[in-house]
Amino acid sequence: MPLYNHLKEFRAKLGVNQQEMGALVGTSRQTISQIERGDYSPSVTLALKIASTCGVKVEDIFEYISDEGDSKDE
Amino acid sequence: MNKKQNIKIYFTFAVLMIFCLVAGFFVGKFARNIQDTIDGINWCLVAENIYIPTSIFFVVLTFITYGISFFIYISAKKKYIKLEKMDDETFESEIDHVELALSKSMIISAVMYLFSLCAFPIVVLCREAVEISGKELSLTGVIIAEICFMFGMALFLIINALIVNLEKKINPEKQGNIFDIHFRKKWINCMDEAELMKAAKGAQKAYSAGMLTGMILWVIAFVLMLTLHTGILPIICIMIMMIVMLLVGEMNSR
Repeated sequence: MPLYNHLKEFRAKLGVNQQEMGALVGTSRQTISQIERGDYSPSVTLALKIASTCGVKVEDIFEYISDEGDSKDE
Repeated sequence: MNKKQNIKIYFTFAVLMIFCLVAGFFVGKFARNIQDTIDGINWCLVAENIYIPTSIFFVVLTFITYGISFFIYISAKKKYIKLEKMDDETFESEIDHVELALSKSMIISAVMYLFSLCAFPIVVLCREAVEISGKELSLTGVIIAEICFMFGMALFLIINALIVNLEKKINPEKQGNIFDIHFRKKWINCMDEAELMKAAKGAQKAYSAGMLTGMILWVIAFVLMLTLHTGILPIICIMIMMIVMLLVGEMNSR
């Protein structure tokens, strides 16, 4: 999956566990766990909620890297 | 998709259709050829001989499968109790294994429950087949199978109630009681986007597998209709199942 994320680091900065993070953004612990493992790409709404909760931009948490391994932004 | 790819798809489809046609011809021919052999089998004697062994096998299988199911559940619960006392990082990295174990436990019990829906009627049918021929056969096998069927159903409900309760402990947002007739609806309503996506993928795979199984069963039912004179009812049942799956699947995916 070409979408990578730094959710775990940002969650650690907030000092909350997956359950609490899920409650903060209105989702379940399982979804947070799956996003962190890279098993699930969140919807735009959820990605925006996560970014807003962490106080950063969506691009700071989620990163799109093309199949060739190059960052799209670069 | 380019023209070359399309030609390849049409060619594969045509080969598959011709193969099915030829295979169908030979299966039908084979069915007619073995009909005499099958007609020569003394089904009454077969039923008499498998009557008690089938009911005993049913009991043994029920105890083994539900035993395994309970064992997996208890192991998962013990692991969860241990994890609760550990730090968040360990809990988060290990809790998925607990939930996976709970899924396995539920699947094993559900498969056994579905199998018992077939095993119990087999025992009843064996006795019926012998009785029709005018022979007397004790009710022991049917009583054993019936008790086992009811006991298995109770175990299935208990194990599922335990699993659901533990799932609710692990995920406090989950709601519903297994004994509530609207349980499945309530459980699905508690799912968020990632879980719904997984459920949708699972449903899609189940639909595809169900339709493929239906087609294979249709072939088997057709052959059995010719050889064992099972009649048209199995084919009608398969058709009804496939129509329901098709209508519900298609109407809800639009």
